[in-house]
Amino acid sequence: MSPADASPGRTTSRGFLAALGQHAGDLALPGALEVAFARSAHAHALMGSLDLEGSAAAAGIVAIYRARDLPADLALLKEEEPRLAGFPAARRPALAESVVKYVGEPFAVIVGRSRPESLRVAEGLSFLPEAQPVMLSLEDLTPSSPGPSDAQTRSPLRWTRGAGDLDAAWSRAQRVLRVPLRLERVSPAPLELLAIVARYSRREGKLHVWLGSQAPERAQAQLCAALGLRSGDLELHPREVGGSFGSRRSLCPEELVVAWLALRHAPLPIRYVASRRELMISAPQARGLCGEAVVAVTGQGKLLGLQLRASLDLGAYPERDGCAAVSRLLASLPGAYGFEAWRAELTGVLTNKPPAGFYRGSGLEEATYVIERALETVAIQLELDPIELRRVNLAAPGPASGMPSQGDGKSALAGALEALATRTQYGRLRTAQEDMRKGTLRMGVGIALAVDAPPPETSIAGWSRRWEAARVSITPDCEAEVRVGAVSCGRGLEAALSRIAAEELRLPLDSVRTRLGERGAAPVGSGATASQSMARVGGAVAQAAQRLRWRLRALASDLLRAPPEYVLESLGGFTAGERSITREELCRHAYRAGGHAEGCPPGLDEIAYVEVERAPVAWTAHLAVVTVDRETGQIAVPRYTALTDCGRAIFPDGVDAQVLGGIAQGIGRALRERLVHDREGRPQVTSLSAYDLLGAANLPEVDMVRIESRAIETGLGARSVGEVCAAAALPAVVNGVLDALRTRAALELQPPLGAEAVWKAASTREPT
Amino acid sequence: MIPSDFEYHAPASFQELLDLLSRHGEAATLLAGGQTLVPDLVSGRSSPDVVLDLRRVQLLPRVEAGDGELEGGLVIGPLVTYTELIGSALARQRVPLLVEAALSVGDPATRNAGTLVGAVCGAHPASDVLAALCALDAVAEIASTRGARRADVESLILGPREVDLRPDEVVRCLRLPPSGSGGAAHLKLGRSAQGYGLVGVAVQVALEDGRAQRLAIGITGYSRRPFRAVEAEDILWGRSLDAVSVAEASRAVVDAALPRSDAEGSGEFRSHLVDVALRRALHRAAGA
Repeated sequence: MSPADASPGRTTSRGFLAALGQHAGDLALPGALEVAFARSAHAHALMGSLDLEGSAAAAGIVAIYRARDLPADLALLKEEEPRLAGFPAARRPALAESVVKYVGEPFAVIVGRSRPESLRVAEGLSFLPEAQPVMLSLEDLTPSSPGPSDAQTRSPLRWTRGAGDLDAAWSRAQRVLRVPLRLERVSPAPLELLAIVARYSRREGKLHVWLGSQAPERAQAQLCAALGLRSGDLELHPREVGGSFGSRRSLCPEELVVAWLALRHAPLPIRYVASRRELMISAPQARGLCGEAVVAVTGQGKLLGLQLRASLDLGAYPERDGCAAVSRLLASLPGAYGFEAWRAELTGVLTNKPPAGFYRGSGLEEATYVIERALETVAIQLELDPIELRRVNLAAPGPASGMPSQGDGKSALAGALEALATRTQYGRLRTAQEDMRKGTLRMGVGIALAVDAPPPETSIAGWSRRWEAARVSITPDCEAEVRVGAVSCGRGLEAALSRIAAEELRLPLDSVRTRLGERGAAPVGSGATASQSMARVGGAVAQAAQRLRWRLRALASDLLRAPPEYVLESLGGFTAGERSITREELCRHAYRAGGHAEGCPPGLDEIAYVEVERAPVAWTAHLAVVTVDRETGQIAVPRYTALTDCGRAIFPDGVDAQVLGGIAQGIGRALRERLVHDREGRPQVTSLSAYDLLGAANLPEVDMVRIESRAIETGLGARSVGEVCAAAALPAVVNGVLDALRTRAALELQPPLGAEAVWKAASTREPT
Repeated sequence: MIPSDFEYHAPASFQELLDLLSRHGEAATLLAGGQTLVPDLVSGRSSPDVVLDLRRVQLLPRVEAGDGELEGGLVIGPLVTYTELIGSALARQRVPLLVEAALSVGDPATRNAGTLVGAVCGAHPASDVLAALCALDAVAEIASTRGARRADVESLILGPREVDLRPDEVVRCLRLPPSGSGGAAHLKLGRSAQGYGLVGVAVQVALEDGRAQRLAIGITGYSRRPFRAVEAEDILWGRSLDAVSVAEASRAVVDAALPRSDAEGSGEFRSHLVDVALRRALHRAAGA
């Protein structure tokens, strides 16, 4: 047992359990002005006259600003900004200028002495609207219709990717199956609401900003660029992020405005805390997709060709995160399977809804859904076993496909499918399913594989080559301190990093302290993106700790007057022959004058920089047992099994929590969660209750199996598991329902699988 | 976030509460478990000038055995939460139907805070316990400085969030007459993650020689307000619970009121579900 194993648990949780978490909204600076945003009630309208005089005179109101009062550069998207290939130039001002493009878009900001006073004015503010045509429905834009040429960008957004000869594949096909696809927009729905506090210190000549961010480095850069500040003029204080799921990766317009207000109203602090309703209607949303896949197969179920045509709902502005999701969707096709030819044609649609943004698994979840649903359709229509169908069609592992192999060169996914069948006693499940086929309660088994192996040429945010840094030091009283620029979103990253350092340094876990968001100490780091903190930052921590350990050994070798190769390390310290020295003595010594080893600086402090070329491949294999009550359309998930390759599991509890969280996300997507807008583009889901967010009580018991094949891409060997599990759970549950019903109508069902739709599909007699 | 300011009182006696109610009338809102009021304040649906908190009022009834004309029945005070009811041996013995309905409410946090009287006064059309309260002939004892009166729960609820209470009135307790022998079953279908169902059916039935006696059926979620399905009870009374009689009874329920239709479920689906729920609840109650 290594010392680190002695004390498991998430040290981060302690503060949260004791209500000591420090979120931006908790920060009460004296004299703070409270900000509220006036938001559009119209989905698309030209802004007519806006009378502010009465409102500005209201009690407690300090100032009201609209777009024209703000600097022109205060924009989230700028025309000249570099963008992903294939995406249009666009501009998005922090406040709507002359046109509003979605309900909830901020068009004015109210600065007041108290939040209620500002809110009251914000809610009463409106402009004279000149209504414009509203674009909401992706159905209007299915591939058969002419491509959209959106007036907002004046250029159609189209992307294609593929490989192989589709015509040849089609000519050999014995069956060609159509797979209807529709994914509703969803919200990352973090429990913590958006909050930001900013204050300009005249004494320091510096703007201080407190906010919750997954990527403080990026937030700092975005703020400096928008405000025209040098990076030294702005100090960002990352506060705790109570769950983020991608929603705190990029700044929102409100945050830019608050930072600007702090300069304008210096030295008064400015504070903004959003309401749940504001977040539900205006924060970035994800996933809207509508289209169709067509699969060409032989009579025996050999996959020949796949053609995907789909429209993606990018919302009112083609923001970078939403566009990155499109890139990742393309990069994640055709998943784990060896189609002889495939082609994806995607059309981006600018709609009058909030911009599309990140949500855990963006792009990967859509791609996995497309592929796994197509496989289920083939299995049902050709009456083939879904595990066998997958096994025989897996792409050969290797660099060409990017698919993982086991040590013997065999596909790791084939091994996973076998293990899944054994673990769940798959044969018995099928017998039980047959036994229930005559009754009201039907059983189904849903399978899904998710593989995150973006091709090397992708430049997708979060997956591309980048630096990470970590600083590890040991104090004179032999306590280690880890400092990284990365931040946690409530995933227990501190605990995991402490564990890595403790293991490398042979120190007990409780004498290691980890501080996140320390960009001064560890000046690079891209934050929590793509669920890869562990895989990337962990490697830097390990390297810095290893160097410190080497220095301790060198110092011991000096003091014990023995060559390093004769110095032995023990739990308490170092020995050479008869002589020994404790780790505590060594640490004290290192800080004395002249106490450092030959060629080393004084003290015990190391910064390590790690460059990770590309993210390690991650994959998971899921099996969901679902029951469907044919009379009521009610779905239950009584059993769920997930086999996940997490690489080296540094913090097993943390790995399991990520797996379970991903599965919860997928089940929620499959059965309940969706954002709905009415015909005028007004959001109908404005609370978590209406959104029907899945709670802990709604989760099945999940049998989580960790497969630990060390990743070679990172020094640490860890892989990311947060995204693949979310991506696999959605199709696993949906496929289970299709498998339970096996009617033609069921093959048309789209998530979330509401009771009424399922009841209707179950009531039809027509078999597939 | 609660954008509007309000005056807050936490009276120590019931008389003081009645006086405050009489003084503030329309401007006042009552707070007990907060499961209706707090979300309404946050969403801005309710912006009262005065909030009267019942939680410090002394000598309010809890879960108590009825006496006199209510001998064998139960009294439920205005601060009794679902959890308190579920934990009461007396309630489990005397009104198992209501306890079963209370168990299906929301999640533990909601059950710990939410009160039964609050459910009546909140009058949510899909509130779980209202079907059981209708089936159990629950009567609300209503007080004001003008005096006391009684009204049965079914007639008290006029529609969604609409109750037949004057601004100066407060429900002092619910009175449940003895529920008699026989089986009971509460069934809710189409449950969302947050807890409300599309329809809920509460059934109490005693069988004699295979024929239904002392039948009571309460329905919630189906229409604008919960109701007692008396037509369905009449159809089943004295008959065996077979496919024919139950189908007739279901039709009577569906005909008794217009189904709600919203984003959660169409009227057609609610009608279908009420049929399934009634059949299943009757079978379970009869089998018990």
